[in-house]
Amino acid sequence: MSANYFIFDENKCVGCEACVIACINENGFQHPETWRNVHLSNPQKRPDLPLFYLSMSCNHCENAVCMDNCPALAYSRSIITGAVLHHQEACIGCQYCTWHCPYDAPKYNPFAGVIEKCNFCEARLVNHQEPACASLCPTGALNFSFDEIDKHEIKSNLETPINTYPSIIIKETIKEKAPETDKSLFSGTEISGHKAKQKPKITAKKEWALVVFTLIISVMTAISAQDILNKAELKTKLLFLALGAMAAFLSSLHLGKPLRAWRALLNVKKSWLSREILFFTVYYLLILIDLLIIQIPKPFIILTALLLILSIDKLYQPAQLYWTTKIHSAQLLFLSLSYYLMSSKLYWLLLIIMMFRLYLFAKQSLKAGFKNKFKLNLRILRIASIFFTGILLILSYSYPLIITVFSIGEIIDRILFYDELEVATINRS
Amino acid sequence: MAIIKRYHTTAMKTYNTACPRNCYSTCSFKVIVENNKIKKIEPQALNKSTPEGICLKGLSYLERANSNERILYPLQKIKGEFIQISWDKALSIISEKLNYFKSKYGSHSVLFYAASGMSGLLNEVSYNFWRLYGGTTTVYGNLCWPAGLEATRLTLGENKHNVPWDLENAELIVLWGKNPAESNIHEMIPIEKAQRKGAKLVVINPRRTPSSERADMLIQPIPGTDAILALATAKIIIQKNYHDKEFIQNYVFGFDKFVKSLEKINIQGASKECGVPVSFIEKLAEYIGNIKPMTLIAGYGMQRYTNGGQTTRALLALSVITGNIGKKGACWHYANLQSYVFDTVKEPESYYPKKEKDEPFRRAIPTALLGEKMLEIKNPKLKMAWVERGNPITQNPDSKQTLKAFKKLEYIVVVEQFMTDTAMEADIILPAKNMFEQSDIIGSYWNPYVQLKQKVIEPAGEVKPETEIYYLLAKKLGFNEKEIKNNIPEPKDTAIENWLNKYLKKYSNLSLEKLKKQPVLAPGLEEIAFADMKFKTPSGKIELYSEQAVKIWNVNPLPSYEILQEGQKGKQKPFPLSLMSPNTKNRIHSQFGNLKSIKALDPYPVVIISAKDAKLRGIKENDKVRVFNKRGEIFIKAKLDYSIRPGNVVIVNGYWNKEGGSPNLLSKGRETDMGHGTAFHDNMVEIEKI
Repeated sequence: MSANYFIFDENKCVGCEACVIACINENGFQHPETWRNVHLSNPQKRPDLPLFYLSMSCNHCENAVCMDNCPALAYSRSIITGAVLHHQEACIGCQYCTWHCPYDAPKYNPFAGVIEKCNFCEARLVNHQEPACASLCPTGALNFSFDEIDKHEIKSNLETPINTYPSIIIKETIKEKAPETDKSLFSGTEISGHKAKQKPKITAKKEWALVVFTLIISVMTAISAQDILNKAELKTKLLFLALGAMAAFLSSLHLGKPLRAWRALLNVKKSWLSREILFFTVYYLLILIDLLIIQIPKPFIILTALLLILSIDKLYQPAQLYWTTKIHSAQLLFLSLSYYLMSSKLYWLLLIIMMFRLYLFAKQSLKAGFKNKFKLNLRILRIASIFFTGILLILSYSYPLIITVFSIGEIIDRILFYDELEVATINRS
Repeated sequence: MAIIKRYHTTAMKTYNTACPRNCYSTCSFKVIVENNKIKKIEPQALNKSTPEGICLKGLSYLERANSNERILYPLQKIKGEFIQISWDKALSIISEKLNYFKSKYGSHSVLFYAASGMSGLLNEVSYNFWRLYGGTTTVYGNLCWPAGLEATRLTLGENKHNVPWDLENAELIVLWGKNPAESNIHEMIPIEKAQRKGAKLVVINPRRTPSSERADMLIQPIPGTDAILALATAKIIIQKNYHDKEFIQNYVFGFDKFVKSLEKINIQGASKECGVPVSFIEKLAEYIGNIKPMTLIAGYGMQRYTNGGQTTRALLALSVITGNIGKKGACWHYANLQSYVFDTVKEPESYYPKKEKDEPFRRAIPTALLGEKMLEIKNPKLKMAWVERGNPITQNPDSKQTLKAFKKLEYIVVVEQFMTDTAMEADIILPAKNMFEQSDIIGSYWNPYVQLKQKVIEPAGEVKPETEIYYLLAKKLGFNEKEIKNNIPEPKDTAIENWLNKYLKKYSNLSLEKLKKQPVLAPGLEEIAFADMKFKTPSGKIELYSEQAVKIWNVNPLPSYEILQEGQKGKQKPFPLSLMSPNTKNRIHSQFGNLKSIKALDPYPVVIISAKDAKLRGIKENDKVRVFNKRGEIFIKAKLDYSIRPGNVVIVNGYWNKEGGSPNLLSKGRETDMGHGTAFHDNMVEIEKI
């Protein structure tokens, strides 16, 4: 049981956005995204579908996935009001919370390099005043209650992948159909889907640093699991370590606040992102010691490498929600394993793994469709790379060439992986 | 006690006030002030029409009042740049110019242009000043609603309707061309209540607006053909014997002639003309004929066509023949002027270029043709203009002509809060007061309250209210002291309050003290308008047949469908798309759009085009397109809409030309068929991808 929740009545909302201005008045100007948004169920106005408005900011969920997954402990819950509060001074700008929140409440401010979000008008709540948005809604569609409520009892008609037990009650819609119109006016207009195109939250282009980072990790772990390194010259060893350092550097690049990167280690208890950073650090230190100071038993290194790979794959779990299969062909486990088999020359095993990955890849490709010419070409190239790797292996070409051809395919697969990451968003639900 | 000086205190203080914009809702709200700054805006529940609070524009007053883009000092244009000057210098220059033009060309060489930027009784002081000056050229008519007002006046004798909260008693609500969700959001409250009780909602609009989302039926006629749709509906109602015979017998004049005139109407032909299938017309007739009480709510956009008055009369006929006048839940809902208790001549009659009182004060030109007439007028030619409460270059038809006319003038004074398109043309800009800086009394054309827009802060910077500007200018010009005293209040809060009290004392239930606390229902208010079935028409009845209509406006004495001048079928090439320029929730005409918080929601102008028309032209969402006709062109982004009637495109009005989006770059100045309104919605364009 906890107190304080929004009550939203779709039957009364006409999408005026006064709530957005009310929020700006109370909390200051918000740029480039406002904390509260009015979402349209049918933005292109398809004549056969109704259009509902949904005013939403943060629902201060009981199961606050933003807070649990924040690696930097930048979120806290107010004991007095139950508000989920974000602390900008602690935020590293990794945007990992935006992947988790199904209501798009955390907003990334690229100018400040940190997340901003609704604070439930905490200062008003303490004085028993409703949040500004609810108190100023001119049609009475957005309301607020100070009462105690068991959030597990609320039947949410917001379709979200996981129930976060939001502090909002959405009233039943009385009229569910679009108005009767003369549909013949619109005959001959093809309508593809009823959602306006929206920018995906995650793209390979935006997250290029992560693409490179994870690829480096897959190669590093594969090589270090093999015994090649220990036999290598110091020069090669140093190059290898430099590669790892570069990976770390790159991964901090995608943060809004790179100087606060160390804070990413703070939430090992709950956040897979913190765990990833932790295992990477441990793994890197072990390798460093192993190569330069004293030999570390192989099982330790392999175990940390596995934990690192596991945590990276776990990290992308929120994006798995919309995959056709539970596993992805470019999951890091597959990448590392494939590189390991390749470097260990275990080609028959590699063939089995690659065939399985190819099957997954085909399934993913079918789901993604072939409209995008550029991506279609990439997909063809990815399949060709597997094929040619096989031929080159049979014809016993030089190893560097084989690795290059093989890697082209792996890189493409990982790039497409990022483009296929889809996380829960309010527009989807 | 009246003087509010809050410089030396940090205490927060809450005031009751009301929004003076040209808007139906005219919300009451509370404003919280600290250290002479507007700090918060809160709802005022005592206004039964706007109990939940003000709209998003009203909320943005917080930014508007404190904006650092506001003009706070007199500015003089020197070599194309605005330089701050002192009030004394500004007024000296202006008085010199006024003396010069008057002596050389006569006082009519000066144009006084004021629009609807801020309402209030004190606006009459401006006219008083210009009378003392010796008269000016000014405009008659109005950009907004006169055709509909005159149509209503001809039919019912007066413009009034039931109180807004009566709407929830209706069983059938017809929103004909009105989109209250954007233009009168508080009307959606009683509509929703009525629907919850089982009322039907029918929306008639070529667009699918936010107001139509919960409607039972959306009828999408071709713009400008609403009259034929209404007449065909009336014909079916009468054919099916749904009309209210007793009501017609007792209160309606000219019914038989009306029925006879409907003989010409062929339902099939009408359906083709307005683009609405017969089945929908029949269903509309079934609804209107059988579901009572009905409130028919007509918007203002549809009467800004050349046939606007006759169209409104045709719509109103539907309320009349079904007896939906003067009853609970039943009314013709166009304009409710019941709170305008202080007006001696009410709209639309005040729009006529009457001779009596104003001669020789006014030489009047129609505001509908502002640019064209400014250029045309002779003896004397226009040399100087004074603009206040308006932004004619953006908002009057045919921006290009208007701009040309202003550029031709020798001297322009603009009183403004922000750097609008019109302010940019000024030689001197005088900083205008905002709504928090001077008290005034306002009415509403929708809600039935008399309200006080209170002075709650001292003017920012060197801002002076218009009354003070005129007072100082009158002194500078050396007008007779006694005349000044009688016509212009002294620049003191007490003088302003005395001025307002002069009006209030006519009504025992009105006083400044009371109005400072809350809105007060208009004296003599009829909650149900025309409940007494008294109609101030020549016949004393509701006039379907109007001799006045012929006499004053030379139109058909009966409601009729008149073909548009520009947007009719067969004349459509090479400009086949009808351009609608409705109001948006984000602005009141050209106000508010410049604010950061409004821009966050509405950053740039777009043209809304049907998916069908877009496909024909190879246009995709967000493509940059050129909207053009022979009067002008706009380069703008396209937004696709799958529910707008193909053949129509929309650019909401209010964007400034300098932002690239005023639809008046494309519109033509024409007068409506009655009331001296402006028919700038009859506007055909073509669009191409660039």
